[in-house]
Amino acid sequence: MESPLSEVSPHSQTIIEERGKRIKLAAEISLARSSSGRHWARALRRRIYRKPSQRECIVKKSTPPLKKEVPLVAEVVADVAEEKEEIEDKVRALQRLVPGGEEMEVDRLFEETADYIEALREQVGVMRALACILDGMESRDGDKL
Amino acid sequence: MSGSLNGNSASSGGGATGAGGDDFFDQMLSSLPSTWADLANPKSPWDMTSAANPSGSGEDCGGYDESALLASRLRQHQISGSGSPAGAKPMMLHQMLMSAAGRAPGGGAGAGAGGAGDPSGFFPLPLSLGRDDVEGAFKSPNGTGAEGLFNGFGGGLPGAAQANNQPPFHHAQQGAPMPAQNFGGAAPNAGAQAPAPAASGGGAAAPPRQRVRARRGQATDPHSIAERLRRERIAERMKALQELVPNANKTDKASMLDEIIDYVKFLQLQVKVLSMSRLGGAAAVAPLVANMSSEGQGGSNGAGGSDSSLTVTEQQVAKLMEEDMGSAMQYLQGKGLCLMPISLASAISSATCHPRASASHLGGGPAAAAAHHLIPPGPQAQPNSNNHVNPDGPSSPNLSGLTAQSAMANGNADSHKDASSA
Repeated sequence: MESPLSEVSPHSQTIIEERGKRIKLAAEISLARSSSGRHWARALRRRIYRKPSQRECIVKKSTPPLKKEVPLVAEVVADVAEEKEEIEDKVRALQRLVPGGEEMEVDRLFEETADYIEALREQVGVMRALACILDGMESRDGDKL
Repeated sequence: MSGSLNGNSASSGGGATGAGGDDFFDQMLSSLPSTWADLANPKSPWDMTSAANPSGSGEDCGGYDESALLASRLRQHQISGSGSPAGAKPMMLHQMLMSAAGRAPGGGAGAGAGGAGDPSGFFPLPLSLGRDDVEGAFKSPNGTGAEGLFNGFGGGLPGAAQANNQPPFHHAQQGAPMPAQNFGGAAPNAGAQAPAPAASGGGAAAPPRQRVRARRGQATDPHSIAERLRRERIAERMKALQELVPNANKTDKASMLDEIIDYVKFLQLQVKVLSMSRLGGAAAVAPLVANMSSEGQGGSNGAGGSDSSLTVTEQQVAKLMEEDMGSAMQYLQGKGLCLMPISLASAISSATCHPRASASHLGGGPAAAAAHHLIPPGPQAQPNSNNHVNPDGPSSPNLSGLTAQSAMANGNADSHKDASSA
């Protein structure tokens, strides 16, 4: 990896980082597998198995919400339009978060989001349990820390 | 108005309101033969001829679909327009629809006995076309529980209302807020209109302001109905999401979306941190800390935290911890965080429902600060979406469960157990 091999013990740093990334990849694969029938899971798999260079995409794009100037007359129409735009921005943000979200309509997006959230929670639970077990094993085997 | 209508119908074709009325009626009849034919096919329960007693407002919207169908047809014709004044024709049609549906009290001219009218089919359709009235009618709670329909139509109605420039205000005002009343008011008129479609030229050349508006509002048939369905579906999904996401008691759609977005980000970050530091961070904690901090200063952070401010904090803490624990603690406290053994944190979180302590456990290096908001205090507990470092002690029990693999060699993190068991 291109982690900057800085002056301080490069090898452990890289190794740790590398390992972390691989673990994260494994977590994502298992996440995708857990709900293989879902659109987001398929999109996630596609993303994972693409070239590694395409794997990490910067999700956070600062999209400053377009602020319309305050209407002089509080017209219902103008307010509604502004609100709608705000909501649309948020929906777009959600689309970027959920894998495969860009291709979906709002109602489908919500459905996929709900499923994605559930799967993520389960994944987190599994990982934590796993970490507990590993920690237990480690401390039993002696202090490596 | 009702009086005049009754009079009109009673005159059986004699355009009491003037010649124009007859023309309207004739035009309508002539232009809508097919439609009327369909409508005339009795939907079985509705008997056009018999004096079906209006069931009163108690009747549910069983006939709703039919009404919608009729309304949509009405709308179609209105749109296709035969040149007659926009307001009159549809309203006339509506009247006829109502009578055709058998809702009207008994056929027959002058059957003012329409009485309570036919609420059933049209119940959900407030009969006001005046824009404001329409809005009001839609927003008022509908006792019959056809609120979903109302809401659905609310979207469609204003558009339709605008199309109709002859808001039958007087009628709307009669009963706008209460659909039942509308129908009550409408009924006599409808009854007066009783001439079934088959009936020839019953006179009701009503002046444009008549009830029918309600129909018009909803109708744009397939489009508005599909729209409504879509909106309902979206609302359902939104509700399902609300149950999943913590702090989801916001009524506002925008803030609800915010919560959802934050929660998804939070979960994704959790997975990342767990894999990078907790599961992957094995040995070499101190070097990990040092490396991460130095790398952090290099400008590129391997962990690529999604919250840059948090990452900076973590890096700072890690760096300080190398030099001197005391200064690290001070730094954290300045930010409203503190370091504590995980076991203590577990004890605190389990002892109280809402632990006030803003605790930052030592997790793996730079992830330490991030950890504090990552792991919820229980495997199945709803994680708090409070991702920010609260300067004055957070209200959220965001205690990090990240292990002290790293850390603190000084024995602070003696318990490597996940604090999340709290």
